[in-house]
Amino acid sequence: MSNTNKRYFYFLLILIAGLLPVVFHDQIFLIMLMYSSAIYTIAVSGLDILFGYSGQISIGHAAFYGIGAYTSAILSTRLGITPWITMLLGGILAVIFAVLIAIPAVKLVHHFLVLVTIGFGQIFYTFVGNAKQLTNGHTGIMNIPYFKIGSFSFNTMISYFYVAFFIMLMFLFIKHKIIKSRIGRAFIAIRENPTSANSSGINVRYYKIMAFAISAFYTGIAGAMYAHFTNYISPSTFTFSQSIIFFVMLLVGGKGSLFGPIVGVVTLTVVLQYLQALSQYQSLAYGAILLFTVLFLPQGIVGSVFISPKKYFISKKAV
Amino acid sequence: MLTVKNLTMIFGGLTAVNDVSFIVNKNSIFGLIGPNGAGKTTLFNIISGFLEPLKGQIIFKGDDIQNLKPYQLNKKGIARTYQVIKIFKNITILESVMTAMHSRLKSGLLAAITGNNFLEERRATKRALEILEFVGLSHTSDNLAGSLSYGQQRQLEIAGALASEPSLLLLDEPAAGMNTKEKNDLIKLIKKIQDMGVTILIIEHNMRLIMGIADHICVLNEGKKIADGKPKEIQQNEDVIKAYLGGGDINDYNFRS
Repeated sequence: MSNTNKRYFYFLLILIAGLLPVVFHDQIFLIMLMYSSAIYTIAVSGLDILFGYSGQISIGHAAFYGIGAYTSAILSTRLGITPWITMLLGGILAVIFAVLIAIPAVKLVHHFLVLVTIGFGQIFYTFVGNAKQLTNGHTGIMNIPYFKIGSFSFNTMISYFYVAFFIMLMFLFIKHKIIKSRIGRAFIAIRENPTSANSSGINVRYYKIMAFAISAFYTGIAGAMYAHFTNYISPSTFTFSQSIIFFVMLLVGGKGSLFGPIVGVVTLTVVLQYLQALSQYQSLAYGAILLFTVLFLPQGIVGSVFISPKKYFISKKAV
Repeated sequence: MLTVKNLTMIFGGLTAVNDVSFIVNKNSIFGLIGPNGAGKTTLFNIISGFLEPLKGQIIFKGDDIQNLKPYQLNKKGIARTYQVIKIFKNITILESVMTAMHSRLKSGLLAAITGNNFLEERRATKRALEILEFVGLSHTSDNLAGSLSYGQQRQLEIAGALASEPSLLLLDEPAAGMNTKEKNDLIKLIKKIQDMGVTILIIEHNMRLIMGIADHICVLNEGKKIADGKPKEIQQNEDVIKAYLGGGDINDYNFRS
């Protein structure tokens, strides 16, 4: 596809997705799936910057999601600050925590990093469950305000969708810009070969921390949005299994790509709806899906289906 | 250009580099040879910042550099390749060269998001294509780096090293695993790089190659420098012959009659 064609294709895709809720305006359930998919796409895109591009694994992203949600919820309910600002502050606080975690953690790779991030997720979960003065404990925070512009309140499913959809597009665009820049190349170099990245002039430690920070910002913003849509948050949303869901979504969709998180999120959201009936056996299903993906679609759906095989072979001109 | 003074490196009980000193002149090709385990790669790892020497000093362009990290040295103008190829396999050839330009580009996060890096990116792409053409890989720039043949991957590594505009280039056995034609191309390429004004420090086992291109050769054996001089002098140096062929005088052996 040429660049112009690609642009038309993206535009058409955005238009179709943007018009869906108008066409199916009476299908509340479908719209709900759509806006939560948009939120998840932001969160999973954040995880993708960390894992898919810079090659650092995290199974604790529910914590960043939660930091965004709780910061925004607490500031907007207690201090009456507009959610647009508190959402941003939630993202920033997630960045601060990410940097604090990353400074020691970036020395670790693979399963050691998994353990640290799981630990961080558990600490967060335990903290919000117990810091009752701040977070209201397991009772949760209620009456979180809606997003507002002037006197218009975003309090319907369709309006949630458009807020989430617009912010998602913005974040996807920014992700694309970052990846195609000097910084994105540094992330990929670290994933591909840290030693060679280092001798190529890349400060590996600095960029690993930066990947953590950007990733946390994405996931934190998504968490804040979630809080202002559902108007209620409690620790039970920000558990270990939420981190696993993010991770499975990324792997299923395809890591290290723009569309991977979207495809993964939509696939898993649909599948999870059907799995609700399984109740306590749900995690068994995640496990099965993860196993299937790792064994048969190691590049995820996007990586396995859409990447042109041409790239893998030398063109005839070369010889 | 580069002065190495009394460099010593010890791993546990093994003295990998033992009090080695030498001077690399500007714009020369300096060969580093020696039998396996002589400490050549360790020396490279020290000069490129991956190891900190136990003792000694490295002076590059008038500054002490033994405490600098690899990425800092890259910015200062030292680039290297590896004995075992370390390329970025899953990105395109063009992207890998652009990645290696890191320390010569400036755009930060904000410039990337706002698109302010547009001009810089365009210049970088153009430059990367020029470098690829220079090393002889220009037709393949959109393919994945991992799809290249072994010899071409070596070329790509050199392209990456050149992308950071080094004044000193360290080549660790660049001809390893190459066929005769590739070796000849490599010799031409190294000469071309020297003509650009780059100083080259090269480790190589292939004697014909190193004797043919090096202006100056330093020989290491068991961590110690045993000879240092012009290729002709090295070829006639007795210590060197001993190190490579084994010591002793033929008359010392008792032949059965």
